Amino acid sequence: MSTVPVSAPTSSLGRHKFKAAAVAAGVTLGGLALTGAGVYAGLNAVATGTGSVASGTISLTVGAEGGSAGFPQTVTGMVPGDIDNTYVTLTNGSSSDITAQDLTLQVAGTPANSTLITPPAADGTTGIEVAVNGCSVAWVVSPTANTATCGGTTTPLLAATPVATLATTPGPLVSGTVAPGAVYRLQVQLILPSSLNETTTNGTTPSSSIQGQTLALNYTFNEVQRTATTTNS
Amino acid sequence: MAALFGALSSMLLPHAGANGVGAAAVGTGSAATGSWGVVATQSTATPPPDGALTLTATSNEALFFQAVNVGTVSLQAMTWSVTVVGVGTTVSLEACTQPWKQTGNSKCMATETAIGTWSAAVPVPSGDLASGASVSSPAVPADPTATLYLQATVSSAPVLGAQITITTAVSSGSASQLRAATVTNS
Repeated sequence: MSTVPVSAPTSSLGRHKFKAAAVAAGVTLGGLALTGAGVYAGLNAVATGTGSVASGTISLTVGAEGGSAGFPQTVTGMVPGDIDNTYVTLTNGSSSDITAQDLTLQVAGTPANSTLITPPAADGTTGIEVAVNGCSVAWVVSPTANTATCGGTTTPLLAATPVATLATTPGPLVSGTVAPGAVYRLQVQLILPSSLNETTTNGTTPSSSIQGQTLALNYTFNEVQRTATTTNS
Repeated sequence: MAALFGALSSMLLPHAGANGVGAAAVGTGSAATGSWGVVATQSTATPPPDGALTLTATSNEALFFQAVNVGTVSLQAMTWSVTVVGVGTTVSLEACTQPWKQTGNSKCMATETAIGTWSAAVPVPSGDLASGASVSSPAVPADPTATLYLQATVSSAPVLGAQITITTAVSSGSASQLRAATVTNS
């Protein structure tokens, strides 16, 4: 790239013409600049609005009820016909503007192939079961005296249902609305059906037996959010 | 930023599925079953050997053995099945909650219970031994690990000896011989 030097004229007339040309050029550039700025300022328009969106919370908690030990429910030495009741309080702690629905209970047993879940065919067809009853007021439970009283109304919520079923198909406790703050006072029954019939001959148990078995249980109470809605406001 | 997340979450929830989000509360537990069974034995070993007990009587004599509850639950009953082989042989069983006083005339110094009487009622035309009769008896209660002391009395003279096989059985179910079912509030 070559550079050509520029120098101012040395005569009086030449200096005058040079100044005039410089002034004209400055005016022209200034005008262009002003014109550009005016175009953008003139097209700018803003309209604003505000709003807020907040999501609700949904929660469910379980605790011991009315003097009962609640969970974990530990039962030993069961024989067919035995029933063990534990009592729990189930609270829907969802926020006040969130209504839940469809309270269910799922019960899973471990090991899944336990003879207490699927008994030997010779013993019977129905293994260990769970049932749930509700009380309209707090249960009064005395494990020491082995007593439990519902001073209000007792409502069957879940009929005796095999754990084999509840493991895959949760049992309905409440169908429909579960109001915020709702409290359910539950008697959870663990039942070894009396129909299980197993004979020990000469001290020898059958090769597949319900005797001396231990089954771990996992109770899961579930609720779901209310049906989603579309609101026009 | 928080408002943005709130807006996003409220918009996403209905798309989480037909029922959207839910809540769960969990509890745990365990269930263990007891065991039941009775062994008739002349052994004093612990635990007693399983299997039927066979006694041989060569004369009119009292044969002593024990029935041990080898289960973990109490029993309100147990079934006795006795097979007697030997023409004309009659055997009766009696239980005592304490060891029999075996000298002289056998005596139970505590609670004595007559269990039943069995006879070899099916003689065969030839030979001295015959197929016997098997009869289930009334039951006798027992607590876990409890031992009942039994006496098998042969009341007729066996010919060339008589085989007395004693089988025990304990059943659950609708006609349960186990302790009564319980309802526990815990």
